[in-house]
Amino acid sequence: MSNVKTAISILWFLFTIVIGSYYFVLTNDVQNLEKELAQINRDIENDIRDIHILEADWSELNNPERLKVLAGKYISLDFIKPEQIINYSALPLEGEIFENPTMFAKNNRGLRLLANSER
Amino acid sequence: MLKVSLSKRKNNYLYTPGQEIYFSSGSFGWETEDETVNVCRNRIFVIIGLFLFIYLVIVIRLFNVCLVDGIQINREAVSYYKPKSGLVFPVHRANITDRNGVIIATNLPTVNLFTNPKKVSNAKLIAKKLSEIFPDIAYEDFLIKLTRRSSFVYLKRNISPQQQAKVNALGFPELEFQPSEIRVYPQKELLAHVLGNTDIDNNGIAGLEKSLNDRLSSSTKDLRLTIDLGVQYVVREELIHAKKKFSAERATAVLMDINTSEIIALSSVPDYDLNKRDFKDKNIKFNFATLGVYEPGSVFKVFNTALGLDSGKIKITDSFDATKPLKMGRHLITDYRVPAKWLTVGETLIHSSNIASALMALKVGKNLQIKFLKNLGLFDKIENLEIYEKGRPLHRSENYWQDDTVATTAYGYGISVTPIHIITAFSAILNGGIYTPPTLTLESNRKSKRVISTQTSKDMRKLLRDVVIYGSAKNANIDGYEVAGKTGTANKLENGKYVKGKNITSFVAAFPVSDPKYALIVVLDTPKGSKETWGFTTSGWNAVPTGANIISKVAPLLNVQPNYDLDTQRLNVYKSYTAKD
Repeated sequence: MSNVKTAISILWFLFTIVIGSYYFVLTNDVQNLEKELAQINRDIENDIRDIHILEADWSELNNPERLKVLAGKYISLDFIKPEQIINYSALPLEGEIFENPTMFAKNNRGLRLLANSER
Repeated sequence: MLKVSLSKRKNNYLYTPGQEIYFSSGSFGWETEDETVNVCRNRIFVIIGLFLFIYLVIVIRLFNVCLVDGIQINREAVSYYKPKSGLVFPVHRANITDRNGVIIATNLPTVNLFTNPKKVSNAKLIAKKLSEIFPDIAYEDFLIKLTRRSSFVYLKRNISPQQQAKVNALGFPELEFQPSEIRVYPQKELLAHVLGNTDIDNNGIAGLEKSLNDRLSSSTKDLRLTIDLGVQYVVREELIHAKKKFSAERATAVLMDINTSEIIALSSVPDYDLNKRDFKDKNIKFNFATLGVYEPGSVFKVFNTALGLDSGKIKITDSFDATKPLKMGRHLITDYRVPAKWLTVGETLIHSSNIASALMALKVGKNLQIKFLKNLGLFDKIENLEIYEKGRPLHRSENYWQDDTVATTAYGYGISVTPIHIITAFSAILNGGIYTPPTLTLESNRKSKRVISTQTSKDMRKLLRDVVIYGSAKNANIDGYEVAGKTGTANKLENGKYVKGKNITSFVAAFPVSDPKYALIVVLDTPKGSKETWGFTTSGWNAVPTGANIISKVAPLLNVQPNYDLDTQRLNVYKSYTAKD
């Protein structure tokens, strides 16, 4: 009887040690994971902050005045004038000759007007 | 004692370590052999118990530290690092963007440099080193701060990362850093009067920053404005150009979506760089567009004519006698360069006749006029507009609104409003008759109301188009964009007196008038005559060309298709081809 008791006691003791150790290891793992998560979150926040600063920088670089200066310097772009915008149907057809406005004007009232005004 | 221990005498009750204990019986009653063993055993148990107790305490404490406290600390750590919803935003005040999402105001994280002067050991050395890093602050100023009798003092707020690194490299443990934020405006002057500004603690002190302070500080969601940055730039550039060209004291312009009353551009010059917070000239902070209350002059004839037509008391074919000045009590109403004849409603606007307008208003009467102007919001502050600086119109009280007031109001005297009042009311007249309060943000809820009939609105479009084709606004007749508008030149009131030669000129316009999309107002304060304007200072010579320049540049940006006939278009194509050669 006392042997059984002793065995149960030893079993309980071992069981407690196993559970305790497992609990300790698990807690440790969780702590490490939480540390890692916190670090990741900190990194993301740093990235968000960097992006936020870069967005402000981008906005400053897109200042219309600066863009105008750059456009004038490198691609000679200017504001669009109303006469630069036309309908599709106002485009010359293939084969229409611009070199000879009088010929072209035969079939085109607009250029007839021009020819008249130039005469 | 050494002698005793070395003597190996028995029963002297002093044992050296390892010496065999001899138990004698007799000398002391309790010193029997059994009793001695018991005493030893008890002592051993007590010692074992003591050690067990110590081990137990250590185990409990270990358990506590490793598991219980650890969990507790971790929870706090997790709750600190864990984002509430998503992640923690790095700044605490929302961005302001234009309608396309370009940032126009944002907070950047910085640090403040502070110290506890009580802990400062070598104030002179620190002050010397700091004044080298921050040349804008003198050595003496730092020294005063460092020797102040307090436990906290800011040495410098909002320092740059480079400066922070330099201060760190000094290696003084007394110098500490505190995270902070600074409001920056990447577009500098471009939206000065719209945005306003914040103080050093990031609280709004002017403009939208002040009026929407709660919204901006309570949420980090971007605040989107109705402003289009590209258009705003063009408008401002043209105003600066006009102010310089006509030597005007001020210039302002507002471009509005005629149907929704969303403000696409609002500029008032002079203005200032929002990132520089100290201004010597307070004058530049005045926002003429929303705060500048002035007598608008002839642009009011638009409202007068719309009132006449909408009331049904005046037909578009009616004529009015403008052959002689009109005497109203003390006032004598005259015209400026208007043919002395009977004028139709259209001609009244084309020639901008004060006499005919006054006659029109008198025919409609006081009550309808007051009701109409109230309906157009010309009697009250525009409550809905988000900006903080808003002007209240000045007008005579209704009890004193006699016939002379009716007559002068018809052509824009005796009542003072702001440019934003005029442009909003003007939009209502031309957009089909619906008044919508103006707004600067895409988040606003507004209620619209009908103020005139669709037919009156259509008639007004035609009449105002004629003003641009034949009348005082000829300079604004840009090919393709079908501009309709009205000019106004009013004598400037200074200290209650009209000053001869000083005018405030206005131009209100809408385009394209066949299907109006945008409305524009340009106001110049005290423009001067020049060779180019033949000495004239009326609106047609300064405000109108400025407005025309703005329209021709912004219309393509706003995707307004120029509407002119195919023949002219073909001519343009041909010209562009030949121009290349």
